[in-house]
Amino acid sequence: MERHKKVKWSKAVFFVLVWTVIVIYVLPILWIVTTSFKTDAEAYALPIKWIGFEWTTVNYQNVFQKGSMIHNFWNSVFVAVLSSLLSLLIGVPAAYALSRYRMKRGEMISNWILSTRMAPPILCAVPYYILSKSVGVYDTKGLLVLMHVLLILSWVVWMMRSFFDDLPIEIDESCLIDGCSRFTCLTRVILPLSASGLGLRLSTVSSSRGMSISLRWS
Amino acid sequence: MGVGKKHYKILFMAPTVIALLLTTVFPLVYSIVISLFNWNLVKPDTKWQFVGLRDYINILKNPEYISALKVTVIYVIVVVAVEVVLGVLLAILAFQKVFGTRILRTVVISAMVISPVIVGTAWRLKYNPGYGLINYFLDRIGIGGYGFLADAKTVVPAIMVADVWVWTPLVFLICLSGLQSVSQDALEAASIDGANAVQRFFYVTLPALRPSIVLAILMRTMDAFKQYDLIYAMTAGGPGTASQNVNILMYNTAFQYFNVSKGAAMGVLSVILINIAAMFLLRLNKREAV
Repeated sequence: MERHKKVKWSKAVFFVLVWTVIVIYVLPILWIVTTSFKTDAEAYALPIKWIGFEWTTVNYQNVFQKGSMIHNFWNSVFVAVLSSLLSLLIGVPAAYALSRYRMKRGEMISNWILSTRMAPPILCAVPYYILSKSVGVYDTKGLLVLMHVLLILSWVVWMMRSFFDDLPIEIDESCLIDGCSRFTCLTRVILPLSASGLGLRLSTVSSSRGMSISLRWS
Repeated sequence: MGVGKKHYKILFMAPTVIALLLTTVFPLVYSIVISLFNWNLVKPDTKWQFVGLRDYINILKNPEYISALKVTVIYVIVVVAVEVVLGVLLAILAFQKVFGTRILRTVVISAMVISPVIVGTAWRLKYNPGYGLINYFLDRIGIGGYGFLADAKTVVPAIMVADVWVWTPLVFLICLSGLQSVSQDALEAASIDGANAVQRFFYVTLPALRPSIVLAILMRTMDAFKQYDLIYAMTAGGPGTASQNVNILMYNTAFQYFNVSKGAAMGVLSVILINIAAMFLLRLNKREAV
């Protein structure tokens, strides 16, 4: 009886904690969203009106009518999608090789790949700024895509490698016996199996890398 | 079987290795080289004037750099410590059988995918003494509106709060997958042996979470040291230089004052510092694991 009560009590505490955290994360986002639908006067009004205000889309109309928004948004989407696809194209085979081949220096290489994340992106900014100026590709979308690819590549390799490590090696062996080359084995069997990982990768890249160091140059 | 086994290995690895050589080794070498010269974008004629380690010595003597370094180090230590503790506790909380844990996971993780610049801007608005959300609640409990971002004493803690808000979810995510591997049998056995909840946490759950925690600390240390977007969006280093960390100082030196060599030298110093920190953390992990 005593124990039963104790369990119930701790459940209540957990419940309160869980919902406190949810509120901490939802409230700011909700505030930003509702404010974006308010007129100026109501946005500054205290106490904050959560629902009972006049909904207006005037801010959105302004943003879209100014024209540069759509252009910038399209730039972000273009860069995010293209750089995600390219980095997967480059990174996935490497992740596969690191996961499947027993390499003498495998661990060293993958640690090195991780260590490339240590350099501050601004460190790369100076050399690339100068290089791109002298080559004449400064302030182009192509450069932006390239920068993004290079910045997220190490992430892609590490993420995909852990996905591949979770897939049993027997799958590879059986398809090699069935006459696949390593390459077809990767594209026909392993990649479809890790499609969910790829999807996750794509979605995080495209949303979180909306803007980064290289964007600030242009 | 035209292509040998070994060739596939090289074929698969080559693009990544080449790309990363271009992104890391090239900028690093380039930065080291230009940091030894006197390169200023507004004074092109002195570009190849060799000055050796002069920039490094000047930077280390510069009180502005020292204060920026202090801001950075304190920032990294506090933020990483708080985030790891909160992240672990949150992950454990999410494993309780209570209504709402599913929503908790979705909501918390969704905070992580917002672009840092947007998060920074949103937090700057929240801290606004006039209409910001935080001051609104402070006002409700009787403490008047306060411009946290305008006061040199409170600006860094204020940014830390925002950082904790955005990046605890990453620690949470890493620990969540780590917790899935904690053996339920071991927990049960421990509780049969008479271990209470606290003992179970410290002797069963925590040791099993070790690798996840180390990974989280490593990633967060590296990223917190490189923190730029968030601070830039919230205060751009102000008021004065109160929240200026080494990255913002580096950016300003190279692109506002056009002293490219000095900026590069600061970058090289940062790389050295981050490497020392990472090596220390990895060493610590290895020694304790034995």
